[in-house]
Amino acid sequence: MRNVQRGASVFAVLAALSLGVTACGGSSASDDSGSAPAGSSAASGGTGGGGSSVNIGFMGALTGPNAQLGINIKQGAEVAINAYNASNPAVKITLKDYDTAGDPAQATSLAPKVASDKVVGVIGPAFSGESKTAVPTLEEAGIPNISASATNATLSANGWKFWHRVLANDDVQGPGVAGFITGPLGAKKVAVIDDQSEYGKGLADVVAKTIGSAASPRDSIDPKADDYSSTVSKIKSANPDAIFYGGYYAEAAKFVKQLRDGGVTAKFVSGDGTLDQKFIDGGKDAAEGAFLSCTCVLATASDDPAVQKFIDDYTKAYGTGPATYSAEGFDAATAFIKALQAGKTSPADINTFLSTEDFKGISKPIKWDDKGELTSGSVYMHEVKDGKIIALGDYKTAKPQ
Amino acid sequence: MSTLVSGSTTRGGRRPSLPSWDRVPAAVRWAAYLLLFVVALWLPSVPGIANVMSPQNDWGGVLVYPIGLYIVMALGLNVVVGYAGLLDLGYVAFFAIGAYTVGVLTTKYDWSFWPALVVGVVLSMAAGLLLGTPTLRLRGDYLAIVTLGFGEIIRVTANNTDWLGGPRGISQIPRPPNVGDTLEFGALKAKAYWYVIVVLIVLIILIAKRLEDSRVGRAWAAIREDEDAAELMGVPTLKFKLAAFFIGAGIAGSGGAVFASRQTAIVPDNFPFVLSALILAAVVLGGSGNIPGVILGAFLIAWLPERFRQFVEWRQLFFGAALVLIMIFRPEGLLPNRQRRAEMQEGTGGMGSLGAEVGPVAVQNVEVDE
Repeated sequence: MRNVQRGASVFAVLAALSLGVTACGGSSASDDSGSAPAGSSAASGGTGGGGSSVNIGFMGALTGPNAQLGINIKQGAEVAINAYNASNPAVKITLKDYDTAGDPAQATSLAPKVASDKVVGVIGPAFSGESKTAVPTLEEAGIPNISASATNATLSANGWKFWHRVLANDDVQGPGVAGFITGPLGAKKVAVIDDQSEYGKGLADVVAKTIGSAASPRDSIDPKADDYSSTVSKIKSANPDAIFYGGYYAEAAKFVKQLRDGGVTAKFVSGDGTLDQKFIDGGKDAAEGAFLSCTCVLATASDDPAVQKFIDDYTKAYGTGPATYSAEGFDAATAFIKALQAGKTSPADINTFLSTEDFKGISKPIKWDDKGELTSGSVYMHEVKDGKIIALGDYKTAKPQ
Repeated sequence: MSTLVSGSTTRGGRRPSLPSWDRVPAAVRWAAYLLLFVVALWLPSVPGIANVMSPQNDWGGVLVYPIGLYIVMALGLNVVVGYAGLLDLGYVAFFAIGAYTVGVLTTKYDWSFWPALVVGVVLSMAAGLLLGTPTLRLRGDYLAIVTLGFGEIIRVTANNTDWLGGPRGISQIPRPPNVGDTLEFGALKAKAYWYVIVVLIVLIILIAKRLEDSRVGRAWAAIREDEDAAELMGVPTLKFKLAAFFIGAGIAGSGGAVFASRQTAIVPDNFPFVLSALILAAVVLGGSGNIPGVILGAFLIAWLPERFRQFVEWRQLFFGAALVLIMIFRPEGLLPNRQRRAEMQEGTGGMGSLGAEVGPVAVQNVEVDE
């Protein structure tokens, strides 16, 4: 008993001391990691002249299961930044990588690092999940960020002042792809399947709601499983005209293969998570004729010289053509470059400048409303033809080939 | 500490020069503890430490998660695995319950963080009882499978319950209220979270240590060594196993509560099976049943992958290789519990009697040590 009392009193002393210690330690507020007051000294002393540079961060998955999308964005941004740096500007850009592996928990601890590295702008966070956890930090640090791929509709409802995205959200994509399925594709009965992920289920829910009673069966597959036969047989007995799948390319490839092996001939439609060459590599012949929607625009051969130049530069630098979100990465970087060209080098000034920007990006016109959403987002359809993804254009006018 | 030690050295051959910690006067011991506590509080603000410990990431943030919260969880699992010898592979479920409780109470019912934390701990304990009552009659591999299932059930349930946000989880979880100007909780102000975690760790250590040295701890040791013998000697094994289970669950719940408030957004994918496995690895690697060992193990498990960020795709490989090497050279853990080492040498595979004796392997190491 005496021992217990002694332990308790020691603990009380410890607790009291700890408060005391923190009271002393906290008095110098500036020792907090990365509490650099936004916009004061954050830009590295731009004394004019050709010697200064600022840091722009890229935040997203460069490793992990969905790394390809992050790499696409980063390479698209690099094309823009390298061209800008080569033009010998007053303020050069250094692109710093922050690899989240697509994990929201890692993004939380990385975001303060972005702030302490005196980054003036962030391209990213790439995915919706990590945006939720990392953007509040960037918001607190006052660092403008432009996501090239996060499409979750609820992100813009958080009242964030420093957050933007260069593509329309799932609330636009869902009705758009539903309109395409029931319009140009002319489907009367649509099976709607998702992969239970935040993105996949969210998108599939919106599609199912837009289509209404014609959306049946409504089902989910387990992305960790390899055998979707129960869902396939459900679809086969319902005999729909089209199937919409909300999810990512790896499972979509397996799923479409099993559908075709199971004798289902309905048209296969999916969203931007599936818009990747890897879907075709995985699905092989089964992927042929699939329709893929995206609020992004896949840069494919174009008569617009700016777009064509982007494709050429990208191909020259990386040996492959631009892929999903590459063009958006380029546009996000361009938005920051325009701010720097206007002489804005502090995060706060850059953010103010972003809200006034209005330019023709290579993917779409870039102009933000006060929430950070594009004022002119639309949905664009793509089709898999002869083992390649081709762009069909806006969903209202897209013609299946 | 990197000397190569085979599994069958005689006891006491490791640290002959140091007097036994138990024999040091209490005043000196408590002074040392106090010093440790102060150093722990000072950790995030040591000048220059960030570049050494975490050049690629924010040191304050990494200290909170993964390092701090892994330590909390490992200490909790240490009660279950290290003291009572119950192999729990679904431990992350209790962490998730704590996190979700805080998420739900603060976002849906406008609770403040501190009362929500208490409720989170209570609910985790209740879940521990709920899972433990029917399953703790099982032993060894069978218990491991059941707990593994429980961990998955919690995650999948959260994923399929719209009220809990489904795969979208819960976002906009508020931070704890600031305490004056000194303790500010913010995305960039990870320090306050670290202080909370340090205090939490101190509390957990006090509780665990008192329990270990009490009748309860001896009952756990008896259960770990040989459950049948303990039962025959009059130890109500089920009761004590339940106690270990729900104390461990409560500790994980407290960690989960802090995690939710730190992340401000949680999704079911934050609580995968691999996290349970990592925490178990931390306990075994550090030295099951020995608090300093467990803390060291959790620190390594959390910190190594962060430290080797620059190797990008290779870092998991390095991490795995480091674990394998440590376990080959120190099968009883880095800082083993003396009792546990004795058990190892008697050849019960280092997990006490989990009902799954490591037969042939154990036999190789048997040495009559008299």
